[in-house]
Amino acid sequence: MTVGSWTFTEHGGGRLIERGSALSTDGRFMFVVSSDSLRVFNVDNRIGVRNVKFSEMTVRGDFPELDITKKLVRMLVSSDILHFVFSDGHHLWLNWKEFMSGDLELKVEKFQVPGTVLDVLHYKDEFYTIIGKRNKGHNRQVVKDGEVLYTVESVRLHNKSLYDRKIVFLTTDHKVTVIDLETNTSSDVKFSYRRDVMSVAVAEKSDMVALGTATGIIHLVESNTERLLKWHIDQVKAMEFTVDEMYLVSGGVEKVLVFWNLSTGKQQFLPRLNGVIVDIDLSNPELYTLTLISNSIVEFLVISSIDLASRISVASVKNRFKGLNKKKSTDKDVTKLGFDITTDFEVVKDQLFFPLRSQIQVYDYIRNEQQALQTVAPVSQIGKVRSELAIQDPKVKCFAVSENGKWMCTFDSVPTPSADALLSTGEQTYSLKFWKHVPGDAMYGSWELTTKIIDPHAQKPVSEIIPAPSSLYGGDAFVSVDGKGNVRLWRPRALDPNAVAAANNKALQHTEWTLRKAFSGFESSSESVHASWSPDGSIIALSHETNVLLLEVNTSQMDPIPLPSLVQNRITGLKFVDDGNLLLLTKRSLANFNILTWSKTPLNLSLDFPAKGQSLVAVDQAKRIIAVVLNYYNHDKDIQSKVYLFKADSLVPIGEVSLSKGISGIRYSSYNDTFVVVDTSSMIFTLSNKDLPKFNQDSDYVTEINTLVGIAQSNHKVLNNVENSMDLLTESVMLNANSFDKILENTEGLTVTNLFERVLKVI
Amino acid sequence: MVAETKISDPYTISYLPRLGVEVEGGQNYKVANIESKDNNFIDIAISGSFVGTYILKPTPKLIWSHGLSPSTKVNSINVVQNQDISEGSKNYLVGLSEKKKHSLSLFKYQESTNEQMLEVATDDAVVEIEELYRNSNIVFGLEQSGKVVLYDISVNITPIATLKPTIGSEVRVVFHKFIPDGKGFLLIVERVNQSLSVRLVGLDTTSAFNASTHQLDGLNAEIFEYNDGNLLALDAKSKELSFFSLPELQKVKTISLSNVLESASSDNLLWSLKSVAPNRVLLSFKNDIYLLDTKYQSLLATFSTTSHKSITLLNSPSQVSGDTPTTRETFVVAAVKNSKENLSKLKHYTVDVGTGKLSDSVGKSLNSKPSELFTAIPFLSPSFNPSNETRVLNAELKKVYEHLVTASASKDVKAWEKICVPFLRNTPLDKILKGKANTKSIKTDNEFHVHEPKTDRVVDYTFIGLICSLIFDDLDLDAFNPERSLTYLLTHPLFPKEFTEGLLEKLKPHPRLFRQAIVTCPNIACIDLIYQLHGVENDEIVKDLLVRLSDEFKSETITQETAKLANTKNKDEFDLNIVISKIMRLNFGYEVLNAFVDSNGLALSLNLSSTESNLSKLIDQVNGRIETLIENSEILTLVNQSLIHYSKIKQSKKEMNGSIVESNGPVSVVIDESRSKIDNMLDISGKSTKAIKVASPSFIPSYQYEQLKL
Repeated sequence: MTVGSWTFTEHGGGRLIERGSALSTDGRFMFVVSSDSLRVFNVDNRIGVRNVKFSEMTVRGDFPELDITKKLVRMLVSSDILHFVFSDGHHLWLNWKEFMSGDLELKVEKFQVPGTVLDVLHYKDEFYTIIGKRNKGHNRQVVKDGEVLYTVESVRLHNKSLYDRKIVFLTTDHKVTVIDLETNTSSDVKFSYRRDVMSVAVAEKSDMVALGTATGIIHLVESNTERLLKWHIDQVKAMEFTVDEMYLVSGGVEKVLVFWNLSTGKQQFLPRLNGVIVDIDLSNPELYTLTLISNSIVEFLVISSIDLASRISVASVKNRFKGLNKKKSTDKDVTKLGFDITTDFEVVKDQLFFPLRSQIQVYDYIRNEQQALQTVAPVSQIGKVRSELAIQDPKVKCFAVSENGKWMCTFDSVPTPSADALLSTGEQTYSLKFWKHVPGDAMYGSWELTTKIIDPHAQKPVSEIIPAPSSLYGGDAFVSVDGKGNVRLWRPRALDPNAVAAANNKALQHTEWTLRKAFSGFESSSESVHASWSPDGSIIALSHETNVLLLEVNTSQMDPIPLPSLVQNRITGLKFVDDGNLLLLTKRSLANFNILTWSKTPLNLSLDFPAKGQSLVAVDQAKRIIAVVLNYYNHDKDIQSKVYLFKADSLVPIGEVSLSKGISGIRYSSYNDTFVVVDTSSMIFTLSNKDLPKFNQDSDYVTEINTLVGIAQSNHKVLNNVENSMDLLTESVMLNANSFDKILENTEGLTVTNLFERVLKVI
Repeated sequence: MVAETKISDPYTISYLPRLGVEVEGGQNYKVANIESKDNNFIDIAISGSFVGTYILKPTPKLIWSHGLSPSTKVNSINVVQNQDISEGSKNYLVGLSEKKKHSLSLFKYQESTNEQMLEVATDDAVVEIEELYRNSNIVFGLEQSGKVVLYDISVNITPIATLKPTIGSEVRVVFHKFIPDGKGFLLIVERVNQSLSVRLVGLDTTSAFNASTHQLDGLNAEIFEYNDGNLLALDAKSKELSFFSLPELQKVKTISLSNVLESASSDNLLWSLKSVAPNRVLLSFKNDIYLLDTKYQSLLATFSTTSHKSITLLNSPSQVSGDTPTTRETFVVAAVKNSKENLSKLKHYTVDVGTGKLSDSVGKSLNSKPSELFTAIPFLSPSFNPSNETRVLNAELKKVYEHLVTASASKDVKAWEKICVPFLRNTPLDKILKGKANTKSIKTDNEFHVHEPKTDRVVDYTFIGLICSLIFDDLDLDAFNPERSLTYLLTHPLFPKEFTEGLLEKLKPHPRLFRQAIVTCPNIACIDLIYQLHGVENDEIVKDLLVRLSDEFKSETITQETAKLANTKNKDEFDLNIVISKIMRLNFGYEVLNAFVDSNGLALSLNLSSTESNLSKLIDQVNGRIETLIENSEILTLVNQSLIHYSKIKQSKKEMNGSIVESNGPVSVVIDESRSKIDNMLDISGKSTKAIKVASPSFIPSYQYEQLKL
C-alpha cells in the first residue's frame, strides 16, 4: 500500500568552493558560492540575506551547463557587478543590487582563450586571463582579448598583487618573473633557493616579492636584497601584502595568521583558526577574507583589519565520513560499500548538530547557514605542527541535544599527553558536560556550560547519550551508557526560584545536573552498546552485543526485563518506533520486536549496513514510519541511494524514493514533521509526504467540547431571547494579537516568501 | 518492591438483602458517586429495600438507612452535600418508581434532627441525578425517556427548565454520564427508533440545551462507558470494544477482547464496564474482573472468583489520575451474586491501576497472536520486492525443515548433517540438494563449524527454535547425535533459551559438546554453571567453567546463586568445599572464589580450617591484599597532605602580595586541578585486583615531588 508520493525537498547545504567568495566594494555584503547556489550574507549582522539556486537563475546568452564546483576560477566584484569566470573562458556577470531585489538574470560572454583559464585579473576595467595547465611546470600565458601578451615557461606557481596590477610567476627552476600591467613590463627577481617554495606574493606598488617555503621560512626580496622572515615551521600556503605595504600577512598549515611588520620585523598573530589558511585576500582595507580548509571542507572567514575580530564566518555543513569510493569490480553485493559513508548528526528544531572533534557545529537548514561553532572541549590555543601533533586534542565522542533544544550533553575524552612520560600515560580523562542554551538577540545564541562531571562512569568511556522524550520531565533528562551497559540517568537540580531571586550570586543561579538513577549493566565490556528511550519515557531499551534489556525507568533500580535472543549479530542500533515497537539494527539485519505482544512483527529484513548503520535509519514516532536508507553502487559504479519507508507491522514499504548521491545520514525532525537527510556532498534535503495526513497532536477534547457547548448555549440563548449572548464571541476567537508573535522572531534576513509560509503555518 | 497493577484485597461490605423481584446484573443496586478514593462512605439505594450509607473503615457497617416499600424500584441515587449544613448531614437524591408512578425524592438527613423528605413527581423514571456544581442547589434529572429537567432544591424541589426529547420518537436512554470536565456536559446514549444516537447536553443554572447529536450507525452494543474524552462501546457478541472520540464521535479504534474472553456470552447482563483512570477500564464478565489499558491495548490484571458467582461493577471513585505512584490506587464497589446460594454481597475491591505507562503493559497485549512458523528474512536491495522474495524464501525454509524432520525421524545423522549446517552457513539450497542427489561426488564436510556472524545466513529465531526442538525435544544422543550441527547450534547466538535449562547436565556424557556448550552457548544460567563445578573432574573444563562464570556474571550474582544452590541441594549433590579445593588445586579462578567466600561467609572460612595448608594459603592471600590496601591509602594520604600543603603555600604567597585573594576559578576547577594531579601520579586505572606496588613513600622519584609543588 503506497500512500501518496514521498519527495525530497532540497534545502541547500552543500560544500563551499575554494575561490568562491567575494566582498562587495562597500564591504557590506559577502557573496559565496556553494555547489548549487549563490548566497549573499550581510556582513554587519552576520546573517544570510539571499540564497538562490543556480537552477533558478536564467542565463541570457549561450551558456552550457557548467559544473560550478569544478570550473569556477574566480569571483570578483567591480562596483555593482559580480563576475564569475570559469576555466573554459566563460564569463558570467550580474548586477548584484538588482539580484538582491529579485532579478535573477545572468549575462554571459566567452573570453577568447587558447587554453584552460587558470586565473583572471581585472585591471583598469580590462580582463586579463592566465592560461595554462594546473599541473606544475607548464607554460603560462597572460591573454587579453584573445591576444597573448606574455608567456612564461615552466611555471610552478603564480600570484597576483592586491589590485591585480602585477602578476608574479615562479618557475620550476626557481626563477621569479614579475609582470606589471601598468607599465607593461616584465622583470626577473633573484632569490637564493633553498627549500621548495609553496606560495608567492607580490606587492602592488613597490617591488617587493615574498616567497613562502615548505619549511616555513619566508624570503622577502626587495630591490634585490633578500630578508628571511622566520616564524612558520611548516608550509606557508598563502601570503599577501597589505594596502599600505607596511605588512605582509601569511598563513599556512599551523592555522595561524601572521602579520609581519616589514619595517620593525615584529610579528602579530591570529591563532587557532578553523583550518589551514590557503588564501588571504586583503583587497578590502577594512575586511580581510581568509579561505580556510580543514578535512577538505572550505570555510571563509572575514576579519576586521582593525581589531582582527571575526566579522563573519561562512561555513558549509561539516559532515564527516570515512570516504567515498567507486565500486570495485570484485564486489558482488552492490549494497556493501567500500567505506562507511555515514555521518553522525542530530536535528533539533531547525538546527542540525554536527560533531567535529572538539567542536559542535550548529547549522540551520532552513536558513542554510552555520549558526554556531561551539567548542565543547578545551583545546590547545595554538595550531600544532610536527611533534606537537602527537598531543591529542580532546574529542567529542558522543553528544545529545534535548528535544526542546534547551540542553545539550556532550562527552569527551582527553588523553594524557604522551610527551610527559608520566605514570598516567595512556589514561584518558573523561568528562560529561551539560550545556544550557542561551538565546542570542538576532543570532542563534550560544551554549553555556552548567555542569561538568569528571569520569561520569568511572574509568569507562560513555558510548552513547540519549535525551529523554519530551513526555518525561519535559525532556530535561539525559541517559548515558557505557561499554558495560551501565546506565546513568542525569537530571537538572530544580532551582528554588525564590532562593535564586534572593541570592544575587550568579553561581547560585546555575543549574546543576546530578545523577538520579543508575543501573549496573553487564560483566563484560562491549563496543556495541546502545539505548533508546520509549516515547512515553517509562522504558529504556538497552542493547549489549546481541542482548536487549528493557529497563523500567520509574523503579528505583531500573529493574531489567530481558528480551529473548532476536538477532545473531551484535546490535548496532536500537530505536523505539512507538510505544510498542522496538527496532533492532545490526550490520546484517533489521528486526522489529513488539514489546506489548512480546513477539517479532513481520518487519524483518536482512541487509548490508555499516557499523554505524543507525545513522541510516530514522523513525517518525508520531506517524510510526520507519525510514531506512540503502546506499548502493549503480551501473556506473557510483554510489546512489534509496530511502524505503516502512510501517512496523509490514514488510511491504509504504513508499520509496531515490537520490542520485549517497546518503550519509537521516534523522526525523518532529518540529517540522519531516525526515532530514544529509548526502555525501553535504547537501541537506527534507523528505516528506504531503498526501499523508498530518499527525494530530492529542487534541484537547475539553476545549473542543467547551466550544461546542458554548455555541449551543449562545444559540439557545438567542432563541430564547436571553441576554448576554455576546459572551461567546470573545471565547471562540482563535487568532489574536499574540498569535503572530512567533513569526516575527528571527525575521532578519528572512525572505518574504518564508515569512508568508510562517504566517500560513500559524493559520 | 515494584508495585504491580492488580485487583486485590476483596472484602465484603455487607450482605445484600434478598429481593422479592430479582433482576439480574445488579440493576437493583445503585451506588451514588464516590468523590474520591479516600472516601470512607458508600451511599447505596436498593430496590424494595432501603437507601443507606455504609462506612468502610475500620469495619464496614451501615450507619444510616431509610426504608423503602417492597414494590419501590430505585432508578438512581446521588448525594448532595451543602456547605451551610453542618457535617454529618447529607442530602440524598433518589429517583424512585413505584408501579407506574415515578418520582424524585430528596431525603435530608441530619444527625441531630429527624430526617425530612421532599418529593416531586416525574413523567418517567429518573435515571440520573446530579448537582450542576458544588453548592449550586441546582440539580438536573435525566429521565428514561431522554428528558432533562433542572430543579432548584434549596427549599423545595422546584423545576426550573426542561429539555424535551425529540417529539414523536420512542426514546430509551441506554447510557448516561455527567462529565464535569470544562463547562460540564451530559453525555447521553439513547436508542431512538432502534438506532443508537449520542447526544451531548449542555447545562447551566437556567437551562439545558442540546449541544450536538450523532448517530452511531451499525453499532450493535448495549454497554457503554466514558473514559478520557472517548465513548466506549462494548459489543458483547463480537467481543469488541470500540472507541469514539468526543465531541465528533469519530471511531478511533476497536480493541478485540477475544484473546481474553474465550467463552463470552452475548447476554448483556453478564457484563459491566467501569472507567477507573485515564485509559484504564475495569471489565467484569461472570466471575472475572479484568483491568484493561486501552491505550496500549493490554490486559493489566485479572481477578477471578469461584465460577458460580457473577460480579457486577457498581461504582468506583471518580477517576484517579493514575500517573504517579501516589495516584495509582483506587477501588471498585461491586455486587457479587452467588447463584448457588442465591445470595448477593456488596464487595469492595482494591484496584492498582498502575501509572498508565508502557512499562505496565510490557508483554500484556490483548493482540498477541502466535507467530508464523516460517518467517523468511528477505534482503533489502535496490530492487526490493518483499512479497515475492518472502514467498520464495518461506518455501525454501519449509523445504529445509521438512528434510530435517524426515532425517530426525529416521535418525539419519548423515542426511541431517548434509543439510543443517551448510544451509545455515549460507550455502544455496539447490547446491546442497544437488550434492545430496550425488553423494559420492561431493566431499563430506568433515570440519566442525562455528557460527560466523559476518557470513552466515540471517535466520529468524523461530527457525533456530524449530531445528533445536527437533533435536532437544526428546534428546537421545546415543540414538541420534548430529554432532556437527549441535556444535554449530551451540555457538549460534539465537540458541533458544528454553533449551538451555538443564542442557549441561544432558550433554555431560559427551565431553566435546559439553565443553562447547560451556564455552559458547548463550543464556546458560549461572546456577547451572556453578553446579557443574562440583561434578566435573576434567581440569580444563573446570577452568572453562570458571572463565565463563567470571566473564559473564557479577560476583554478587554468583554469590546469590551459590547460596541458593547450597541451600537446596544436599552435600552429595553440591559441596562447596570440593569446588573450593578444585580452585585451590588449579590455582585458577580466584575471582570466583571470592564470590564463594561471600556466599558462605565466615562459616566457610572455618570449614576450610580442616586443611591447615589451605587455610594458611587463604590467610596469606587476604593478608597480602590488606597490606597493599594499607600502602595505597598511605600514599593517597601523602598526596592529600602535599596538596593541602601546596595550597597553603599558594594562599600565603597571595596574602603576602597584599592583594585581595580571589579564587581564580570556581571550586570545581580547583578540585579538577588537584584531581588530575593525583591521576597523573598514580595509576589507579589498572585492574582492581592489581594493587599498586609501591612499597613505601620514600621510593617515589623526586621529580614527582616537583610535580606536586608545581
